This record gives sequence, C-alpha cells and structure tokens, in this order.
Amino acid sequence: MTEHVESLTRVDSQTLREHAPVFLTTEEHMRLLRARAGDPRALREIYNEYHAQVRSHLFRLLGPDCEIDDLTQIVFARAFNALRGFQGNASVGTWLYRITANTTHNLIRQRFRRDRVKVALRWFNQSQDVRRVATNPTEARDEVHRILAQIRPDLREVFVLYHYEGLTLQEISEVLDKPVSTIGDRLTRARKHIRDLVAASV
Amino acid sequence: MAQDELSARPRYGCQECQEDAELVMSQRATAQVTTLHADHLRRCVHCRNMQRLLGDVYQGPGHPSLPAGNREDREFHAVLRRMHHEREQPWQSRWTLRAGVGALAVSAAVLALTVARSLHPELHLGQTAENSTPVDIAEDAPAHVDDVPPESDIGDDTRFRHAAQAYGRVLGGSANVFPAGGAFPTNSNTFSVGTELQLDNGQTVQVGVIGRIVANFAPGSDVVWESASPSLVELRVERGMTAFRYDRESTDPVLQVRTPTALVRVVGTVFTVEVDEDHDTLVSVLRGQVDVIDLETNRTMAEVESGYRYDVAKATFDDVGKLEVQAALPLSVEVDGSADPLVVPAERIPISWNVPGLPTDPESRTLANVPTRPGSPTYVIAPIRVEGAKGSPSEPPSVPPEPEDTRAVEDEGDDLIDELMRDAAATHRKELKAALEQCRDLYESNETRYRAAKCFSDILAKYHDHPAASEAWALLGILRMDFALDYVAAEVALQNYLQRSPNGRLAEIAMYRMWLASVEDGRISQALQRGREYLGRYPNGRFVGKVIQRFPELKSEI
Repeated sequence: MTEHVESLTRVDSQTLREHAPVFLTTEEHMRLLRARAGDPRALREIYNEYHAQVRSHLFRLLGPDCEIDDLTQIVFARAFNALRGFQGNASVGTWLYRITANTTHNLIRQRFRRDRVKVALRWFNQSQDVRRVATNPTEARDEVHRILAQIRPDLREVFVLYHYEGLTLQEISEVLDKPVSTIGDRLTRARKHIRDLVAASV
Repeated sequence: MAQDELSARPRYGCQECQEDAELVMSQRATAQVTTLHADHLRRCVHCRNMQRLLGDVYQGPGHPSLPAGNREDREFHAVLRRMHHEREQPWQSRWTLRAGVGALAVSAAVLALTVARSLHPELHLGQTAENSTPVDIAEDAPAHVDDVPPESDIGDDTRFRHAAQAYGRVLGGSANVFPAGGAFPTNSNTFSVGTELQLDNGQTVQVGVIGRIVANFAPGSDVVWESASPSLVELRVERGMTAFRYDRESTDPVLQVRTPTALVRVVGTVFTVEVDEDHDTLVSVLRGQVDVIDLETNRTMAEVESGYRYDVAKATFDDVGKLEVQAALPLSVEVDGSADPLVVPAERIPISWNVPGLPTDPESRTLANVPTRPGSPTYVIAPIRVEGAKGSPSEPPSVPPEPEDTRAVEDEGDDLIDELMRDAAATHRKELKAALEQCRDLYESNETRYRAAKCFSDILAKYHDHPAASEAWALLGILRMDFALDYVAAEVALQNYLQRSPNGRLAEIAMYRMWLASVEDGRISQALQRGREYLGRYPNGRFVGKVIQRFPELKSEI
C-alpha cells in the first residue's frame, strides 16, 4: 500500500490533469486515488471535508434523531468501501448525497408508515386546539420537523435536497436516479403538501 | 372615491394569499402581487401566522451540532471499524450460505445413504464414501478459504505511512536507551518502536517521535514506546513525569499514553503525565483536551481540559501547578504560523497555555508567577548539561568554535587604512565570536537549547553576511527542526548554511539534517533523493548507518 501511495505522489501532474474526471479538481482526483489505495490520511481528509454536509443532510431529512451519529458512520463506511467504484462522474458531494439517500431510503419509509397513525391522531388533536403560533426558535424548529415528518418520504427527499441542500433539479435527478420531470413533479407536490400542512397547523 | 378604488382592486383573500406565499418568499412574485399579499397579511392574523410558519419551513431546521476534537476523531475511527466490518460481511454471508448448502447436502446424503442401506443392505459404507457428497464437500471446502478477500490496507493500524517515519530521536539531554528486546543501552540517538528510555535521577532528555511529537522526560522517568501506526502512536509511562507537545493535524495519528492505571488519549495538545511512587497517574493539561480512559473497562473516566490536573486514583480535579508547567516549559515553542515560532522571549509561558492564576500580560507569564499548589512536592528539574553520556545525540550538541576568518584583505591602500580596517574587522569578529559563544552555551544545555534560536536569530540579523556567522544558520535550522517541527524553515536555514559554507565543518550534518527533515515531514521521494546525495558525497560519513537504517534500498548507493 505504502509503495502504491508513494508511486501516486510521483505521478506527473500534467498526466493527472489530463485524466482527472470532469467533476473533480486535480487535487480531489489525487486524493481520491490515494484514498482508493488505502491511504488513511486521504480518507480522513474526505471525512473532514464532508462530514458536516452528511450530518446536516441527515438532520434535515430525519429531524433530531439519536441514530444520526450511527447513520453518518454508515454513510462514510459505505462510501469508503465503494471508492473503487466511484468514477468521478459527479462531485464527491453529490455522490455522498446519493449514498445518504440510499442509506436512509428504507429507514424513512419505515418510519413514515409507523408514524402515519400517530400523525393522524396528532392532526385530530390539533384541530381541537386553538391557534398555535411558534413563538421561539426552539418551538419553530420543532414545528418545522413535525411538518417535514408528515410529508411522504419521496417528496421530502426532493424538498430537502432542493431547498435546504441547494441542489439543482438535474443534480437531484442524479442523486435519486429519477428523471428530471419526476423530480420537478415531486417538488411541486411537496410544496403544495407543505402549504396544506402549514395552513392546517395555524 | 375610496369606494371606487376598493372596487377597482382585484379580490385578494386568504386563498390567494396562501397560494402566493411561496412566490413571495422566493421573490418570484410580481410587484402587484407582492403589494396585495403584504396588504392582506397586515389585515389577516391567520395568514400572517401561516406565512411565518411557512417561512420557517422553507428556511429549514438549521444545522445540527457537529462533533469536534476527540468526538470527531472517535467518529472517524468508528467509520474505519465499520468499514472493515461491512467489507467482511459479504464473505461471511457467502460462507454462511455455502455452509448452509453444505449442511443440506450432507443431510440429503445421509438420508439417501440411510434409504439406500435400508433398500440394499449389502452396500458397504466404504463404497458409499468414495462417491458420496461429503467427499465433494470436503474437496470444495478449501475454496472457502480461497474466497476470503485479501486483508485491506485501508485503516491498517499496524503500519505507518512509511516505515522510515516510525523512528524517534533524542533531541537533547541523556538517557539510558534500551532498544526493543535489548538488555544493554545503546549509544544511538535514533530509536525505533519498542525502545525503552530509562532516566536516572540526574538525567533529563527531550525526544522527538515520528517527527510530530516532542516530549520532555523528567529525572527518574521510565518510558517505553509501544507502537506507531498512521492512526495511533502509543507510549507507556512506567514512572516519573513526562511532558508532551503535539501540534497535531487532523490526519496525523492520535497519541495515547498508557500508565499502569490509566490510558490518556490525546488528539493534539500540551500536557504532562506523571506516575508517582504509588503507581498513581496524574494528568495535567496546559493546552487542548485529553481523554483519560479506564484500562479495564475501556470507558472514558474523565475529559481533562486545559488548566486542570486530574488524579486518576482519587478521580479528582485540581489546578495545574508550577511543577507541571516547569516540566513542559522546554516545549513552549509555539507554532502558530503568525510569527517566527522560535524567536520567543526566554522562559515565557505561551499565551495559549491555560495556567490558572497566571496573568495574561505576556511580560508576567513567567514560571516565577505560576502559583504553587499547596502540598505539591518541591523537587525542581535542574538544567543538566549534555556531556556525551549514554544515549546522548550522536551529532555533537556542543559545537567547537569556527576557526577565525583567515581571508586576506586585498586592499592595496595606505598601510594605516589597512591597519584600521584590520582592527575593525578583528573587533567585529571578536564580537561575533563572543555572541556565538553565548548562543552555544544556551545550545549546549537541553533545558535552554530551545532558547538558543532567538540568540542565533539575533546574530544573523546583525551579522547576516559575515562568513563566520554561517554556523548560526546550521544550528538555527537544527533548532527549528527539533523544537518547532518547522521542517520547511529548517531546510531554508540549512540551505543557507550550505550555500555559504559548502565545505564547512557542519556541511555533513546539514546534508544529513535536510534528509532527516524530508523523512520526518513524510516527503519520502525527496528523502530518497537526499539520501542518495548524502551517500554519494559522504560514502564513509557519520550518518551513513542512519540513512541505511531507514532506507535499506539505498545500500547499493555506497
């Protein structure tokens, strides 16, 4: 491994530039090669650069959850194991979004089904309540998580990626492996659903 | 008039307001819609509340708290462990599947055999065994072993990035250095993993490990270097007080200090570990934070922050005292990138160190002003001069004075002017010689050696181009390398020396040190090149053994 990493450092930078994937800079490509060769420093650099992104995305997708630490580790472990298969056809960030989406796909669907009855009960109780207005940031944040949790998982994924993570429709279609038209449709439906939920909440 | 205006405006109720809410928030609505929307919000409390909540949803739930320091490090190592575990999973599942299939086949074979024997009692067991399924399974069994994926290099904790980096060096002072498995101390100043350093009561020593960690061992200490890998460097303190400075970068290995009763895990900090006569462990942190881990349960006993001293046996916290500060003071060189790290006022305690009771005024941050903890022992680490004792650096810490400059003055002017110039030059040389002598005094003692850098810097500022001052470049380079771990600055200083005195007395040391700087900084390709250059120029040099020790492939260069 050491020899391989060493040999990588001797690769001509011109050659690297010529062969670097479009979405990666020469430095990122170099780091990717080192990570593939098993250089722990390169793995640590990738982790350092992207762990805030992955954790924040999970937090926005799942809400405050005790499993976020565990899921962050799973995402990076899967990413590091899949480094050999990563061809650089997308940025590392987008690729990690894809792994995060695949990792959380079943989990958020299971939870959505499990919580559906609870949500229905909550809706019923809220309809009996007087008007509720979020008065402080903590309450507002809880309210936001509550509303997000009520959206269907496929719509929630698109909404979070578009509005919170700032990805374009094209990028989201790559992350979720769906046509752009499907993503656009899901986004519109997510917005409408949120509007209805908010209208019902106040 | 007012009635006409109202009737001319389109109807804009709650339904329209809610439908336009997102357009207005994303600033995609027309000016007219924005005005109507704002007008409606002023009038309608319900829509105002909805708009506020919708704004919160579109703004997002914010950011979670991110792990930092030790937590971040722990998470990364958990990722590596999980990565290995997940990689092993397919092999296990395949093995389980094959074992299951094998068991089914065996069961089927036994069943078939039983049925066959009941139908054909004359059939012997030996005949059956030759052609039956169990034989096939047995032949197939080794295939399972072949299918085991090769051990991955990723996150391998047993190897360093390059073997040449897994060495330590005695920077100053003396100690009894016992190599791994050796019964007798060696004279080498370079040591590898497994080495034990024993200090008598009159000895102190400073060591550098893997080019990243600087440690100061107090008299009476006994320390063993246990392991070095890309993720972990571990030392074991059997007794005595040891101070560490580790300006760790995120990709550098974690430092662990093991004592008889605890494990101190460090991400990057300045701290001391003391094992007293009762084998009790005392951990004091001057900068950063360390985790103290129970050896038996492997759980964190305490997270010791800067300014605190933790007693493992009593599980109590106390303020850091004078003794700990004194032990760590030789490591007080700070590398913050903002200024020349070595040109620091003598015996000042860095501002980044958290010492309770010490003023923040830099002028007052001296050892004398550190409050003494009540009941603390009074033993003082006395400065000890290096006198070529066992384990002392093989490079001479004391450098004999440079011979006086013998260049002839080539002026053909008046004799008087010549004489005056010679007098002035002689005076200049005497001043320089005296200044160098003073700096060498500081350089010779391992307790004051780190302060010699300022002295040499002053000389170079005043006698920058004087040939006799070139020695200061070499010594300054060595100091930058040993104490500031600033390898780039060290190389510049050493190159300055080699340019001025390519055949000087310290040329060999300078070349060796440049090679060493490449190794310790992890630039292995450059280190190989410099190693070749050194061996080419000094095939019988003093440091040939050290170069070959780390790069055996260079033997052919001799």
